[in-house]
Amino acid sequence: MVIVSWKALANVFKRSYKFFCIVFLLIGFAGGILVPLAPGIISADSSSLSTFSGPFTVKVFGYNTHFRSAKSSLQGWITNEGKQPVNTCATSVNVIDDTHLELSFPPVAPLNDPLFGLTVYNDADGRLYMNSAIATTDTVRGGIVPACNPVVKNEKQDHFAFPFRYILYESMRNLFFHVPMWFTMIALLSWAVVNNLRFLRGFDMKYDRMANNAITTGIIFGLLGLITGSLWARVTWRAWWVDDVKLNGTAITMLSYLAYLVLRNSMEDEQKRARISAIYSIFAYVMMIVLIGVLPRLQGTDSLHPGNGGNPAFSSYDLDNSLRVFFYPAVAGWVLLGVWIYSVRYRMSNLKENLAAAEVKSRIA
Amino acid sequence: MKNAVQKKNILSAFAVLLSLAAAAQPNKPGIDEELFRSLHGNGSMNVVLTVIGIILAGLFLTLFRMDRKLSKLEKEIKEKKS
Repeated sequence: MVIVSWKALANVFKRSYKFFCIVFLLIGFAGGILVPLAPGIISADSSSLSTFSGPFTVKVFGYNTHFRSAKSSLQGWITNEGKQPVNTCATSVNVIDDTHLELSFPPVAPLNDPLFGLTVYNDADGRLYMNSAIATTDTVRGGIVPACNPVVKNEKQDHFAFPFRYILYESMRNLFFHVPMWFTMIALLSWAVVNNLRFLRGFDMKYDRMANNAITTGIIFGLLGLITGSLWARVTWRAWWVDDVKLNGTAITMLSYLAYLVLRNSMEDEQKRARISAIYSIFAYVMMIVLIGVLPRLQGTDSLHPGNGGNPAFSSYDLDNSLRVFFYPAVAGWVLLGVWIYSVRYRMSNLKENLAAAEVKSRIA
Repeated sequence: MKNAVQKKNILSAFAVLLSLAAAAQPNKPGIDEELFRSLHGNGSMNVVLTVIGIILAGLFLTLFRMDRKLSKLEKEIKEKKS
């Protein structure tokens, strides 16, 4: 049986974490920026509001697609959604360039539903599907539906790519930069609470310095997360700030930790300052866990964040495996960077403390 | 009073225009290409780059402030020794 002491483990961590921090961050940056997005359909413009009154054309605008280079295998069809989907193939395909395409369709009567899904297929991109791409104003149900059975060779394109999602598009890469900010903040604030408790056990000022530096570093990462999140929201949710439980929760958390700084700076006596800020910090931490960890996940709350208000987060839909490959190293890298900054700040505060102690000693002598 | 009425008129005219514009749109869900270009130019990649820029700027600012604090500390220690 091997006995590993905490001290030995801490030593191993201290010696190696900077190396891992750099490696993980490099993996996160390289993957987060360089891996391409999977192909997808951004828009489909129908020439007519009716699908039944005559032949119509659909202009397709794709993203990262290979319409021209994989022209020979290109097919397009619309599917009348509903209980029994029926496919209608395009009679002619007019490829404009790699991302633009015009499909011509014969008159189609909507069988079950006024909505048609659009599929564009080629061997390079695989099956690209757009849900409810074409809507018809026709009220006729039934009638002539030219049905077909398209043959598909590759379901998916075969190179490594991040998933294509509407509205998110490339901004999905913020997953490797915005999200780890919060992981880092929570890691540092948790470390702060551990040291607050250690301080309250024996009133050793060393633990007070540890906790204080962890909190100041955590606040930096929290602010960065807030600013970057606001920017991301502007692009995907159309507002700098939306009325979302998680956003309001983080705003309260940040304010309570900023109040911690004010509280701490308002006191002169060191021991008193350390005790009061330790207790305040524990309360603020519990508040944070409730506000950003518990409340947004409750049933009945409404949140735009994945993993909240009934949205899944760590499910296969939101966090694709291709994202996970880089997400976990990115989180580890950013957290370790936070630890690195924290440790430099802590050592600086130790230096300052030694200086002050020497001054007191010299005054007495 | 007159001003308020005028304002209301302008507003209602604007609302009519808006509804006309909405009616003129071909009724299809999804974003069309121009909208995509104006909102997500470059597929929203610029947002990612800005986010990275903000994070790096924030961390460099932190580094800069720490550096200044450390210089001050060094100076104090030097004074103490002499």
